[in-house]
Amino acid sequence: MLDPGEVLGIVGFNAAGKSTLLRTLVGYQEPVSGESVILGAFTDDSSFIYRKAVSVVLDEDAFFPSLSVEEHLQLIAGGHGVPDQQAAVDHELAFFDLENARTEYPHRLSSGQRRRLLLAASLLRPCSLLVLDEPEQRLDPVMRAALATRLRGRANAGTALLVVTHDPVFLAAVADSVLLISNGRIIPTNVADGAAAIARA
Amino acid sequence: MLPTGQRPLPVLDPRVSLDNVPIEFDPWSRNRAAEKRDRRDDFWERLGDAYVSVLASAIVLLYAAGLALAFADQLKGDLGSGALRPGLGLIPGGSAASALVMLGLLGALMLISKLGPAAVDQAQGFWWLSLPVVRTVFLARLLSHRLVSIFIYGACLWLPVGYGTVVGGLAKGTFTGVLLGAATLGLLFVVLSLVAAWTQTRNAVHVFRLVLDAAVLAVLLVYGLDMVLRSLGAGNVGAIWTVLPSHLPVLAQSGVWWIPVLLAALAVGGFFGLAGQLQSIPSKELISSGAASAHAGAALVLLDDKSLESAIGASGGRESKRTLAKRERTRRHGSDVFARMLPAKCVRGPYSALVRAELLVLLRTGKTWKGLLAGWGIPVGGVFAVQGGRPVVLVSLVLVGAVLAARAASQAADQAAQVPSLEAIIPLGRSAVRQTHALVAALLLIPWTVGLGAFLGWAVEANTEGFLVLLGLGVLAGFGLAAGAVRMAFRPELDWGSVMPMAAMGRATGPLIQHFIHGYEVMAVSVVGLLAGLVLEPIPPVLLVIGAVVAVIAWGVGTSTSNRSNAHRRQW
Repeated sequence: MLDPGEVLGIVGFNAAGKSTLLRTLVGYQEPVSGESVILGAFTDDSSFIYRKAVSVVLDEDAFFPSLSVEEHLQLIAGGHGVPDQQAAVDHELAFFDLENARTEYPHRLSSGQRRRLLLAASLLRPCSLLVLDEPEQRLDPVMRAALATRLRGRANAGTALLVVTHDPVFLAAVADSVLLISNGRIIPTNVADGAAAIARA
Repeated sequence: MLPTGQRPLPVLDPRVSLDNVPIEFDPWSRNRAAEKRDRRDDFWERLGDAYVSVLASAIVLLYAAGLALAFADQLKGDLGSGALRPGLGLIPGGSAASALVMLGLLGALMLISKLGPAAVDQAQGFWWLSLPVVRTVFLARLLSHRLVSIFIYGACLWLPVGYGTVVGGLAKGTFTGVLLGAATLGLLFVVLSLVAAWTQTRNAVHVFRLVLDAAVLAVLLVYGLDMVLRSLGAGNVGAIWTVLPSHLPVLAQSGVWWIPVLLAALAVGGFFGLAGQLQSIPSKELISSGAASAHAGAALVLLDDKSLESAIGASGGRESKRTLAKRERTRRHGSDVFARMLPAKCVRGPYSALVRAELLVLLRTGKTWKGLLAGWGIPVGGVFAVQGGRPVVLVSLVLVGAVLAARAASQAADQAAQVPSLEAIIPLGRSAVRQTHALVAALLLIPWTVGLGAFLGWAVEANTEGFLVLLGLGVLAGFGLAAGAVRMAFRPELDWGSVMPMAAMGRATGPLIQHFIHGYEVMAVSVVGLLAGLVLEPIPPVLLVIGAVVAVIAWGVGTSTSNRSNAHRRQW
């Protein structure tokens, strides 16, 4: 059970099943047993409410080769009916330090810039549940810290967050509670123990 | 179906409502503007690409038509000189062809269902599918583009067949008829693709594939039944072959023009009926079909048939409950039944470790057994067809069957070739490892080729001496086929860096052909002895000497680790 404004961190060793858990929860993968329930109903991404409410960034890296960085963000802003779209896009470009890459095509971006573009897209749109798989990946320490603060701010405003991470500092800055996945078992724990578990891994 | 439980729904941005109403936005149009701009930028480049594509397609079609015509000529000229014992050529050629085309149609449908037909690429999956917009508009557009491509592929497949059969005098028809036949096959593909897309909207793709599997089995069973009934003189089920969809292009070619018209009406009606339902296809289905399509498309662009095969094979949809249960059982026992059959304690050194690993791979791979069975079924099915009594048909069928079986028996070598680091950790020389791969494949193939040799010996009424010669040739062919399959498995990547400059000088054809036949040439040469035994009467024992020499050379070439080709990148 994840309440509005709550941030749940998911930690565990490699191949523990963290990403699989996320993929199953958001309906990208068939559950072996059980059902995933989001906002009081079974996960169903054919529903408009689901798509309006849930923003997901997993470990993927896919872009349209003919769209620039800015156009990718405009697509998301337009598709989600974001009010004052250009201002919102400009804000994300500034936050993720992508202003100079505004007109670049994805193939000209560095790996870290591409990651920032995906995160910008997920934060640009309104949502009630934000699902992030290792958002700190490929980000420099300054951007990691800024992202942690931003996510915490989103949570304080009411968004629920589900975050898989391998970074104990990031976890401590963002999460309220932690699920530790170990040997096929899911163990609820607190942030300090979760961060310690990552450090031991 | 959402919402709404009893809990209050959190809304981050109060200016956006969390209701089940789509946002008015068309991502397709938004992207199109940018794509148009890109197109203008490289107009001449695109024109050049189109020119090359059209020219290449025309050349391939002409080659295919020439081959079909030559084949038809052979059939026509050979009438009355059957190679088989009396009473075997039972099933009329037209019926056998209808069965074969039906199997091809089902295979194509299986392929279409693995690649979609409704699908999105990775970028569309991330950027478009997450939007709360009505998906129908862009999914219908994507599907319509794919259906047009499917129609073109289907029609082009028929052109050489229809042309060859008309010019060869095997079927009724005119050149306009051939075009009608081509349109019919293309439209048939489209209609069946719409059925496949409909199963996607019902989340029943796995059921659809099971139905296709059952249909393949049904065609084979009916063919077998027809064979048995005819050999017993108890009638036949030949009427079935004339009512199968695979017979429609033949009918259209003979002038029944309303068949393509009816199919076109069905296709258009079906498309508009289906378009509204595309919204209900789950994202994961659209994304996984798109990923398989992208993999297959990349393999086609790189002219990499092995990668194409793995792209098609890898897209299996969801895991069945049986697979999951099997995996759980294996986890509980610590090993599966095959690992217990070949216990690790039997391993005494690197050779036995490698042989055990390869045998485990082969035993666990369903494709191995399916390939061996299909490789048997093709020549055996052909022997009982009237046209199968012609040496040219028999020779072709034995060749196709042998290649299928050899590819199936080299699954372990295929996997090893994909992960070279696995071999590097075994303390054996590359040549020794390559020979071990071939040896394991030969263990499977020799019983297969000996069995085939025995069957063919019986079919051509060989005398005792000839029969024994065919058995011997079977053993030798098994070694050669195994070596050819290993050569194929370890075919190096095409070196575009070398081939492209040669293309500019008009000298790329040789290296490209060299690349494509790498491995197949050894397989083909290896069965020459068996094939000669089919057409020579009496079968001369000297074929054994020739077969032995061919097998030794095939073994040497197939297991060689050197690479002197101009077309291939030097590896390892």
